[in-house]
Amino acid sequence: MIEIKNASFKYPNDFVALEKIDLTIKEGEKVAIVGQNGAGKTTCVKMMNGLNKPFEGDVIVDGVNTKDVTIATIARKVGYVFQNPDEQIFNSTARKEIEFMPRYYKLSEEEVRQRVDHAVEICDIGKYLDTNPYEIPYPIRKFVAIAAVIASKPKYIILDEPTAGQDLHGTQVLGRLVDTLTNEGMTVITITHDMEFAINNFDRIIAMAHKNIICDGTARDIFWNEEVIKEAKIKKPAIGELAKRLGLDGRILFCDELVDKL
Amino acid sequence: MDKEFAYSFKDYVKYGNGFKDLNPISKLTISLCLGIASCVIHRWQFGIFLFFLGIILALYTRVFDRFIRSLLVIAIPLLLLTSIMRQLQYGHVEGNTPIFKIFGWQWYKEPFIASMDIAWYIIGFSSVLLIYFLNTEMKDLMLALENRGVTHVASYIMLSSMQSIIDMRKSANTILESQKARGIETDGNVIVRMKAFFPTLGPILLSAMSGTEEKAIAMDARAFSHDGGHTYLRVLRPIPVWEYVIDALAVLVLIGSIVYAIMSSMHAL
Amino acid sequence: MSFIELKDVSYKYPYTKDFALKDVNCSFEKGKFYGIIGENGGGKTTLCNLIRGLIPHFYLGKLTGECKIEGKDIRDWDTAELSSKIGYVFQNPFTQISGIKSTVFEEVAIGLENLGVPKDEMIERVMKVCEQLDIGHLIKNNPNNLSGGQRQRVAFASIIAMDTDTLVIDEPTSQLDPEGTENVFKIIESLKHSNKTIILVEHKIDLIAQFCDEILVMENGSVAFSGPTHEVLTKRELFEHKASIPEVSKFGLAMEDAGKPLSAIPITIEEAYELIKERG
Repeated sequence: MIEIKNASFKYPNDFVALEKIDLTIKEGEKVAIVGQNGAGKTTCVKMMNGLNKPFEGDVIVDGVNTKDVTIATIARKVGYVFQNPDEQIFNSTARKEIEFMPRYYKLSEEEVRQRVDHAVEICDIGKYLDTNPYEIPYPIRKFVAIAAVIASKPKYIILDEPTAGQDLHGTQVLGRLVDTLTNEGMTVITITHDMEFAINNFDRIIAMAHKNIICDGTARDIFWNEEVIKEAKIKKPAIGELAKRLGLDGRILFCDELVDKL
Repeated sequence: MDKEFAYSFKDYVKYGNGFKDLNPISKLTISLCLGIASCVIHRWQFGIFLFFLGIILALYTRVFDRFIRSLLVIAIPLLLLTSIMRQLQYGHVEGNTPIFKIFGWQWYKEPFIASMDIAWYIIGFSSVLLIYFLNTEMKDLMLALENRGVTHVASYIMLSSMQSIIDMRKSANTILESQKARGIETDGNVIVRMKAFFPTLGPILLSAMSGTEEKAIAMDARAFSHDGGHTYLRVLRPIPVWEYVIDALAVLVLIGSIVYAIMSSMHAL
Repeated sequence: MSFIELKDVSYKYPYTKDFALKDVNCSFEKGKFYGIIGENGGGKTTLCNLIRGLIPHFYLGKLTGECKIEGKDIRDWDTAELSSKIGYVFQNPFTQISGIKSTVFEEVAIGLENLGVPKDEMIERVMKVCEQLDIGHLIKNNPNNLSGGQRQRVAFASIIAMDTDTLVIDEPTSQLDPEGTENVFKIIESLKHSNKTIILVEHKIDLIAQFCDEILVMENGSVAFSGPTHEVLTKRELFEHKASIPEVSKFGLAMEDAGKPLSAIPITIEEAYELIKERG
């Protein structure tokens, strides 16, 4: 369980990015965080793995206060895939990149192999394994970065803007990946600007605005609350927008619901 | 939109300060002539003169804070080191004049003056160059050079590499964070730190390099290689006659210093 | 005659095994708005690079077939001349800032300086374009300190200021947040009425549906489908091809499958609304 308790964060230049946040994420949850840039989304998830330590309040990961241990210690539990894979990848092949953390943790050959195979399969990057990451197209390079974090087998995984630059296939792979990981007991937290991706794959959606959480609930709670949509500057999914214009009730968001209704 | 700002480009580049508004090349000529003169003369009196000239110009151009802070970093250790070294090396040479004692350690006049000459000529040289760089935008210098026939390709390479150093420093931070976030331990003894250092090096260099191809494409889209004549949004003030006069004076000081150096060495013989 | 014409064009980047373009045949007419969609690695960006003359002048490799711009073969064009005809904006907001200018105003003027536009005219043009793209409040800022969305608008401004007849725009919003995306959409909308030829690569299919006159679907280096926007996006094969189509089009197809079809397949929310209303 990740608990953020009354936590505030400010940058070294005294810019306050988060004000008194309260948030609890339980094991096995699928959580998407949405909202405008500058709302504090990235600052918030960086608190979960200790990169940002609150100046007020506490962040507790499985009973351990992030203030008491190094980032690397928390990172074994909370993996974080940055938006830009180029900030992470440094090995000469995709395989070496994915093997890096399991080897760093001095796991057995057998275990390393299993973890790599598993991560590669769910990220669908088998054909690029022995390629230099810089020759791999950018959207697929993002999957290499994700696979490398999956292979280190954290209990919680944070994906920052995974859908940016992905095509339909890439987005579908991501959707399946979220399901597979949560079925295996991992907790998946994502920051996303892709509202369709959020409603189709995440049970719980958190909208952030003005350095705080303004709504925490299901897709319907968020996207059928005009106030929240306005404040968080997000866009209502197309089917929801259509249903709203048609004046239909039932907080419709999905295609089949609308078909049934008509 | 700030129209006043937009229309300010109609005028020549202007900072509203007599020294700052000198042409970057004549400013460079003045600074280099005085700086080199300081090396040639090699006397503490001239060094101190340049130091005070630097202070006056720093006050006039409102960069005193940065000037004095950067200069003291060089000056204090330099003064201490050279004077101590000189006393240790040449202190008890026959015929030296004792001047004072520090905790029972006798200091002599001749090595002391020699050390002051060394320290102050460097301080004098640094003062004028520091004043130059604190008061000259790189882009103005490049613009002045372009006006004198340097190609805009050379100017671009110069200016963009300076920016890329700033960008690299920014990205280094994010890259370090990303490696920490993967679980690589960065706090601890030297070996732990070394282990953490390696994974950050690759991405820093590669991200700087992978950007260059795209940058080239972007610049090409901005007609960078177009050769039908180049115009400038920012235009430097045509150099007035009195500016040439100051330049000439600076050159004279340099020539004078060389003459002085030759004469005094002949005198010594 | 078409403004840009490709006949049996194939192209392979240096040091790669596979062809990035295979027997591509297509043409672009003056003043029309084209959308290019399709999977990643399908050849969209390569096509842009070719039209922009980066292939074969910047990227070597093997180019066969015929690619003509204003009737002149791409191999015979001088890249500098081409850059004053065809503007190019691409994905990465960070590499499109020159890094040598210290205010947005100067940054936007950079292309005009290179083209040798007289200073007074340059100032007027830069002011006009900053107004048009709503970055007037940023002109004194250092472009190297802007956010991604702001940088992308500045990149658009630099290119639009050059007033090229054609604009090639490659995934301009893929690295932006919703607000940044919205601002770029507004720019693209304003371009629609400018009589320029526009070629836009974009994954956000709703944007394509809203603005484009014609669409090309790229797949495996070839043009899989092409034609007027409405016709292409409502093709059932396209959906089954796993290309992304607007949510409302999926809805239209689902209505057909459920045995209660609308009179046409919609591609925008407005259309869908009208079609449902009309049915009652």
